[in-house]
Amino acid sequence: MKGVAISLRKVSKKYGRVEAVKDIDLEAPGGSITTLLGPSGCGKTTTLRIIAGLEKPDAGSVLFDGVDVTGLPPEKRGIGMVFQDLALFPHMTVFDNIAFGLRVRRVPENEIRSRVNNVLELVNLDPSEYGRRRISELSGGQQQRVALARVLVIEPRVLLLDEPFSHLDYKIRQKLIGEVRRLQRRLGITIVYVTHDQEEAMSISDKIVIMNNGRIIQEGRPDEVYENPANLFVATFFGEANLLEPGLAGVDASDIAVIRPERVKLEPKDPVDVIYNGVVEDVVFQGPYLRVDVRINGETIKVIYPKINGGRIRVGERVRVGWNLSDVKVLGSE
Amino acid sequence: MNRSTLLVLALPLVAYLMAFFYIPFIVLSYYSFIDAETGRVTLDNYLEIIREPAYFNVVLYSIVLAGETVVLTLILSFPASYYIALHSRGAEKVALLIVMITPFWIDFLLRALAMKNILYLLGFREGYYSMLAAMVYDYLPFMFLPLYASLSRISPSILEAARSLGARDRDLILRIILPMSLPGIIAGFTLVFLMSLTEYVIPSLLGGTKGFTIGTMIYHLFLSGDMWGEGSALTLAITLGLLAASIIVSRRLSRFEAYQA
Repeated sequence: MKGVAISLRKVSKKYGRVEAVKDIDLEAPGGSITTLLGPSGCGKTTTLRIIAGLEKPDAGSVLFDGVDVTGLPPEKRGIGMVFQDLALFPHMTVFDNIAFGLRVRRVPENEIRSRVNNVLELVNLDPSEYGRRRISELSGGQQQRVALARVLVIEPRVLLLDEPFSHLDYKIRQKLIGEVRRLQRRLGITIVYVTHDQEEAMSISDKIVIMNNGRIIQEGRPDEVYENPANLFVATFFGEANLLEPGLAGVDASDIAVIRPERVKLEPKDPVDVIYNGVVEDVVFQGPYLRVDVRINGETIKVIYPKINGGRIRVGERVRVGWNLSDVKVLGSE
Repeated sequence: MNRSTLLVLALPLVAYLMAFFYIPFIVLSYYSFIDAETGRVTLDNYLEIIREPAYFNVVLYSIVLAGETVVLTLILSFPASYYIALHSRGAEKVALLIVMITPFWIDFLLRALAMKNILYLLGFREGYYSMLAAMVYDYLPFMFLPLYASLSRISPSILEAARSLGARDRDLILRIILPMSLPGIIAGFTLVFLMSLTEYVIPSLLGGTKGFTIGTMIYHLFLSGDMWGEGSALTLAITLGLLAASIIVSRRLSRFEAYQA
């Protein structure tokens, strides 16, 4: 089964006088994971709710595999949506939560039992152990799995996830992201994923769509967007970037020049295009690498320094910092 | 503060309830087992309550009246509390809640008297329906508030989730809204039923000839009939009956506590 391709054409949505989404064109290819990434209030959740059919756009249209679904209610779109607060039914057991979508479709009870048990196994919950539990008896990660199972059981063509892991701790989040990727590959469905967490977006997405102020700023594969940010907003929101003053950049730029911290070389052994003397302002141990802030000509440059390079770096120490001009990105001013 | 200090601080309340409820209640229990003429211990007062159909009829009549009060307060409160809890927000929500609550800042007896006069102006005299109307009016907040509290726990995303999973209006009401508001319904039911069953003021003000309920009957047994023995026995039987009923209900209710937290 190949997932549905989703297109938004010139979609706009206002709440009162606030323009949540402004004239958006968006493509989420079938059978892949597309992430809407942006700061809170950028319009990403509204866009997701428009795809789900929970909001009607003021203008524009929503197409599923080329068919206009703008007027269809959510239950007729073949979507499954996982809400930020999960919205599990607190008065039902795990089994009944997952069976809900099948019961309202009048699926026979013996078929419901086998489908619910299958989907519980799919999300790595043992049906005999968890089926009869109440929602309040589950951990955050388990509740998350139930929320996923509840939408997967109705075999949606499109899975919409609204910051589903934001309230979980780091380890469980990483684990569930891996599981969602595996599920997606196994089921072949289309996933649209909303998050404000750039790391989450990098690790889950086939395609990333960066939004700000109700508009799409840039889209592409995560590595493309990371290596070639369209502007300063993307460079600083999606990963970290040092904004280089014209004198520092080593390029004749009246435009904005940035460099990623991992491209800056501390005490370079190989020759580099530009090199400066600086003073270490701060050192933070991060396991495999150090984050070092170096003060150069009144500017602070962030450096990621692999531990494997060895040597101890102390605050106040004088160091040499340099980079190659090919690593400096010159951006449009927007 | 340690346990015994806290206990001492709680004593005034205990003493207060002792003086005005529990000690009189023990005295009342004593009278229920005493023959008024001979002063001997007897079960006759209880046997008389069982034997005399008038008592049974009055209790049944009061149960019907209290039951109708419960049903009407529920029917009136549900749509309003549903709308306010789930479909209004901001200033509108605050305004509607104020509209719902303000009437009940005025004393119960004053409102009953006002109700009587308004019903007169509208051409209704004392009788069953005037009494019922006043009971519903007075007990409305005790149904509305618990109902509102339980409906407020249904987040809009729960309804959206149910809808996106394919639920129609019927499924939404029967599978989500009613079960999730059940704790509120049961709490409102218990409060309104218990309070209206032994109501005295409204039946005597607005009931007219239809105002002979458990409350007014107990009053007459003690104050105009001078039948302390039977009055005590009836009071004790009703109190213990209600106690048993509310224990059963609260046990049922505790099954829902899992998601009330």
